[in-house]
Amino acid sequence: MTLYGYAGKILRLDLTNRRFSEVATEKYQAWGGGHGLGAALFWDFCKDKTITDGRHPANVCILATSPLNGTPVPSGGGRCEVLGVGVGMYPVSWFTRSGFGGRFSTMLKHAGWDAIVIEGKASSPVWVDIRNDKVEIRDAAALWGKDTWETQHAIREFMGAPGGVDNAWWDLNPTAADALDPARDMGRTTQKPAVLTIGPAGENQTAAGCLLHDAGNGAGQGGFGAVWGSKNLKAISVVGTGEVRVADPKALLRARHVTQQKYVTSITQPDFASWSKIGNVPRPLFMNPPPTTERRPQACQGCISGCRARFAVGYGNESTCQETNWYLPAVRRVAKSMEELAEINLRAADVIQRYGHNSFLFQTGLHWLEYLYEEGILGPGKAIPSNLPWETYGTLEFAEKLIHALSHREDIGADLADGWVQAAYKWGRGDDLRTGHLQNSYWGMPEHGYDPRAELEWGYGSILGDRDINEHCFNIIFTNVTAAFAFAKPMRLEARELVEIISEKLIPYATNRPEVLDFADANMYSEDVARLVLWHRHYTRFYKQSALFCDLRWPDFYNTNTPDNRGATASDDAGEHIFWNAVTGEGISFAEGIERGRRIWNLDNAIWTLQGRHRDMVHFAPYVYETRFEKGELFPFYMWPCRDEQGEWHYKDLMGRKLDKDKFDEFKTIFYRMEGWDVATGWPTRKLLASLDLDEVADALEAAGRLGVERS
Amino acid sequence: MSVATGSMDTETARRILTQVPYSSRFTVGALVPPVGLRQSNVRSLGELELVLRPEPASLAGLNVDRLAAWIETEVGDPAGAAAVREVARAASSYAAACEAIHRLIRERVASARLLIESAG
Amino acid sequence: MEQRDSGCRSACPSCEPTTVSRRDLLGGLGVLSMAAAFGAPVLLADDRLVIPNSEGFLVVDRKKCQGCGTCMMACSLAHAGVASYSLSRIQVVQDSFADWPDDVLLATCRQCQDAPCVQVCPTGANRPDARNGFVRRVDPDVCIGCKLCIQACPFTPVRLQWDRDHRKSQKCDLCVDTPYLDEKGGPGHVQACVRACPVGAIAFTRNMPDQTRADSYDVNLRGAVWKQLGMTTD
Repeated sequence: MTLYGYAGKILRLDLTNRRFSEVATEKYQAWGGGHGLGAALFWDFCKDKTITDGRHPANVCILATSPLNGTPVPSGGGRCEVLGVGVGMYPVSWFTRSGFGGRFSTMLKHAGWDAIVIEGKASSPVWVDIRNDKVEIRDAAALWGKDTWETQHAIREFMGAPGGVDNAWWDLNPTAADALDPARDMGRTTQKPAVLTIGPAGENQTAAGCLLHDAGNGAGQGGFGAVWGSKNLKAISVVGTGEVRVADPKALLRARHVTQQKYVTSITQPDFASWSKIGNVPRPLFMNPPPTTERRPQACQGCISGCRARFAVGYGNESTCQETNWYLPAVRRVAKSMEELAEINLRAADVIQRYGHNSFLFQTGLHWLEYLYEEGILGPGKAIPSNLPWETYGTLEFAEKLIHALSHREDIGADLADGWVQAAYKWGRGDDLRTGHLQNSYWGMPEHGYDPRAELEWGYGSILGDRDINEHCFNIIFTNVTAAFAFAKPMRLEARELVEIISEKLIPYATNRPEVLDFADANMYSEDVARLVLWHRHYTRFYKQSALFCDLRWPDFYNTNTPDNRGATASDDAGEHIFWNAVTGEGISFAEGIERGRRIWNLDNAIWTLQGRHRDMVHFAPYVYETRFEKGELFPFYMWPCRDEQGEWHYKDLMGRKLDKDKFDEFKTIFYRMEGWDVATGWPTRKLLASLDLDEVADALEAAGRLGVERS
Repeated sequence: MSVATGSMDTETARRILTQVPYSSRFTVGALVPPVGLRQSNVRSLGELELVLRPEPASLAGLNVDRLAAWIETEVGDPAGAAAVREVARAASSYAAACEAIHRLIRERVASARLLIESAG
Repeated sequence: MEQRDSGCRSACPSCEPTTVSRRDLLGGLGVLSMAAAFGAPVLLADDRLVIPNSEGFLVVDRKKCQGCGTCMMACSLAHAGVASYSLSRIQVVQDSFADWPDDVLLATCRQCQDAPCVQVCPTGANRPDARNGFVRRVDPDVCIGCKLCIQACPFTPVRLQWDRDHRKSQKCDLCVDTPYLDEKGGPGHVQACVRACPVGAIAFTRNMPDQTRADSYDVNLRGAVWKQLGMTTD
């Protein structure tokens, strides 16, 4: 049977014995790809699903692509999913996920693989060299200790891959005779190997260790760099000369063209202020002013609107978003000009990329460290000893020293290596989680910038899951509306129209039920909001994390580039399922994709249950309940559509509130009931799992004494 | 004498250019999608000027009343504080207020630097 | 650079310039117009073909490209129904660690006036297609997979591809052979890469770029919008 979109086989790496084998993808086709595929592989190959630290040798790490990778599905072809038990979360490191973009997933598909399963632990550092179906597990002694960029250069050199861009075709055949033999010809490419690697932060198994590809594509959350470090796995390099077979190429190209023409603003006459996710002009998301006009937007493979950049100035390539945000507040202390600010900030981004260090942890962490230092609690000879040159805070030199220390478990890095909240408690600073000096809201992870006391679906989705969700599906509402409000510009869409358009697409649970978007005080803990969270979990598990539609561009609910303001999501001409079907030929409906997401989400919960999850653990950091999201401190308002007492929709300011712990507990009960989980524990029941064709999962939970009970 | 440079003597100029203690910092934010509401703090008007510089992809976040109070009491520039209140009141939107305050602060810092330089 | 046939006397910019250009010589003989008028290559006494000019060319702006590879995927899909970079007739080569603009190269077939790949083809599989604006096109039914055309292309990377599954050469035909495009391709019609590019870094033109310069196909496609986005239009 032809599997369109899929390469057809999965690479299973046994690092302990330095062997590899193949697994047929067909058995896992129902899981889609990405997260679904990876979770199912984890279920099958992880022999101890009770582990709660990703550095345990029983952990299995999966890199999973989607059938859409390597195809021109708009902003759906370039991501790659990473799964396994994480490192550094609090109080439990859950089975979790991360993702990264760039060229890796495309290249893995071209090499003929849908996923890589990484098991065991090598006795000494290794790297994996994949060239089409030829796989070698090689010694990495010469690479260990190198930063992420040095590692990639070294691997290119070892492989004889051409450097620069003025290079000839790279013939992968070892000999001319191989090239002439149709059975052995490995083909040729102009592309460089796609390498995913760890840097010092991962080698030293710190919670901040991430995976890095090319100059700036990182899988940050989850500490997967530390997972690889614990397995003595330095890097995976892949080059492929094959192809992705598509079920209906005409339909795919047609839908791509429709997206470009109808949903994306014209590149020659753009609407710079359009309200849309997929429809905007390419605008790199670095947080400092551009260091130069001599630059290009840069994109993952297949993206319709790139979010990165490459510059002429010799630094900052492919750093965007969070990596250009982590040190910016500090740089302002020392920068004497915007030019200097941009340079220090982008060079600090380069530092964190090279070390393979997750910059997101500094979103709240840097302020906290500054606070501790300035308050005389942290520093030379202080209660929290640190000999870092804090007096140079804000300089590039300090950034490098700080990242070096944290990546090498030196100085305060020794305690931060296992997680920031863990360090806070060790340092006797647990109270900072009550006061909000350290705003790590959920599972030890930083609050993202969308406060859980205001943006409910973000906080709820994070705490009911395993991590900061980093899913901007509905968050675009806040951005569009708040910005328009701030500039006193007319709303492109009034509140009522906006929620009605969105709810048309909340198939099947909330179709035309706009009340699910009402975040007013009176509705905060309601079944309506639970329904939205439900939809959100299921949509993201399939369409974003399994099919791998990029979070920055999807879902596209509303879109002012179209005549009726309806976006591409769930549309008949360019919806997610349209692209899925064009590639795979499966002919699913949009709702069927949501159902697949539900299945995947429930498998996740089963794994968390085996890891020890119980509803009593599912709570935010104390500050969320004990302090208010202070009005005007970070921004004057946080706008969101809400209904008033007459049921009329308006954009209202959500600042100034906190969450009520007891009411949130009740909300959990509502949510669990809607999911079909045991409301006493949060565990899945046999009835639920059987309905999802997961009977063996129910068996495993029952054997572990952790099967949920059906309660009326 | 402009709003920006009015009522400035060398003592005021010195205070404008001095970094206040951390405990006197002023919390600011920024709306920077998709990172979100980014938290920051400033300890001098020079830093504030950098925060407030208009950028296409972000918008500074501050409470104008608190800012004016901070400039008056922590920085020690009551005339500057009064000027901030005045330009903010006249602005047509929050973003316009930020831009007006930025221009004001930029000129005030520049004037302070000139004054100190010329004082030797 | 690829090894080239030392007997090649093509007037492309990668060669040492000859004292009198072939173009001048042939133009003086009226051969070029003869070739165009008859719509067919004209065989000269020294066994070299004089071929009509292509009526279409792709030009690119390497400073604009966002490196997304969509053109490559669209090209291979439109022609072969599969998404493959190795089978793409446009190549985007990039290096994440290099500085703009040297981090990206857009390598398209130049539809050379005096195409070496056409000259060396022993079977005539690679020839100007009279029904499609004389685009230099490899007929897969005639190609014997000798790879002489690949060796003859003087550019880096070579602008022809080796299809290892079908054991044949292939090249950009301006989308003449695109069974997977809804619309007609070819000069004056749709090119999959031009249409797919999200930023407009590839353009079709009927004007033949200067054949004596290596950089004449790299043009400036950035205008006022690009400037508004904060990027240079130089």
